[in-house]
Amino acid sequence: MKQNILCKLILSLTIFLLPSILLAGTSAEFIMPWWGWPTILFFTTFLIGIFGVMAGIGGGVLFVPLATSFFPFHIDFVRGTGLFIALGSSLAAAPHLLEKNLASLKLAMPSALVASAFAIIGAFLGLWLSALNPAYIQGSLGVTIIAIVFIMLFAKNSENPSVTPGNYLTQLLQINGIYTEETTGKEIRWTVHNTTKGMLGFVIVGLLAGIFGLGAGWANVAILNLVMGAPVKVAVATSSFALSITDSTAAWIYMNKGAVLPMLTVPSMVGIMLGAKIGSKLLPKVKPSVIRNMVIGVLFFAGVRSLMKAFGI
Amino acid sequence: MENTSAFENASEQQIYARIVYHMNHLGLFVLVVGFALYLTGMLTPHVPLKDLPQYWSLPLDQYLAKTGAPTGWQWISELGYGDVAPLLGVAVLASITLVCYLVLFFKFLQRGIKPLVVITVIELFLMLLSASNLIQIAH
Repeated sequence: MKQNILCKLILSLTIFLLPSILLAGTSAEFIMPWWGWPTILFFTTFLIGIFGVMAGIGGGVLFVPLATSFFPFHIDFVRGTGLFIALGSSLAAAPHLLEKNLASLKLAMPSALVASAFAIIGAFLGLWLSALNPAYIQGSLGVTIIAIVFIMLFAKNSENPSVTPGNYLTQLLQINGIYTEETTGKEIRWTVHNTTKGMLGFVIVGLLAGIFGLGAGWANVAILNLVMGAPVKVAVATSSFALSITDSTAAWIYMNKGAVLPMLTVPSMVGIMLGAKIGSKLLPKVKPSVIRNMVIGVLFFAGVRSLMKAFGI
Repeated sequence: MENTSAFENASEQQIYARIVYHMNHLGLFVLVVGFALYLTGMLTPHVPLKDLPQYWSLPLDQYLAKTGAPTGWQWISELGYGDVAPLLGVAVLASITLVCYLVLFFKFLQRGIKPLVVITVIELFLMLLSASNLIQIAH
């Protein structure tokens, strides 16, 4: 009953806020008091937090395209905030995932090392491209978001992939672990393969995190599960945890360059964390596939809008 | 070197989890307190709140030139400004992984797991490099 009321409240809030956000973002003449945009940003990130959890994707991937397309903030500040949103969500989830042995330190460390090295390069590349012409970043963000939509539509995770043992790098780094599957009470022992190929995938993850401020959880899971063969639960949890390592390096660069604006970053971080808490409570009541399709639709729309903005349309 | 070839999780995971849990709470508390001081006007900002909408749509270099907002580690000496105070919380949150990796370094060194010591050292180097503001790009 209580959760039904909450569901209706969230839906009403979405319906109430969405038109103002969409219309305001397209009108340069739109005038608001100074607290107007941060307030809308807070409620938007609150909704992103709810829907992000229910759709099983990180908040950063929704936040950056929506905030650059429909809010008046410059893309440099949006990307800085996006990184801190991803960092905050990851730090909040990490203790539980590590204690339950769902996230693996041994799997996260090499993946995050590659990703964070390239996140530094990406952060500088992003700030340099943006200084040349913000349309370069806006356009490539649009293309990336549309590509993510297609990856999300077509990549199907495998619950317990079969793994060929004997990979040199896997053995050297002792990448394996055990977790208890709560639904059956069974102990699952796992390891990975194709570690070198997986690490190459994290080059792209790191670059995207640095350039656009995206959490890139959608790509992490695909690499860990489909390429390296980690069980899907381990892949999802390790991806969520590894973002806190990858994004820390890029976050410092944005902070040192002055691209972290507290008026954007603080309401967004608080909004997304509160939203994620409610989202995880609502999760058992909703059909994740319906929410996921809805979120994919919003992402596609934001990607197209981002492309249009890059071409001045 | 200890034999850890069987299926097992790194025992350091539990320590890592506890550090993240406590430092995350500390970081969020400092962040919210700093932001409250900013919003209530108890600390004067570089840019008055009512003027902020004129600046947040500017490209970063123009924003910095017009507002005099700090870059690099200047923020430490400007924590008395409302729009800089929340950055202390931001810095605590961004430092959590660094602290965890310092602990990991000593733990892995103690257990003699060389490949993980190497990874930890490189990651620490990357984090310190990005935090140091030593790398610059020319426009």
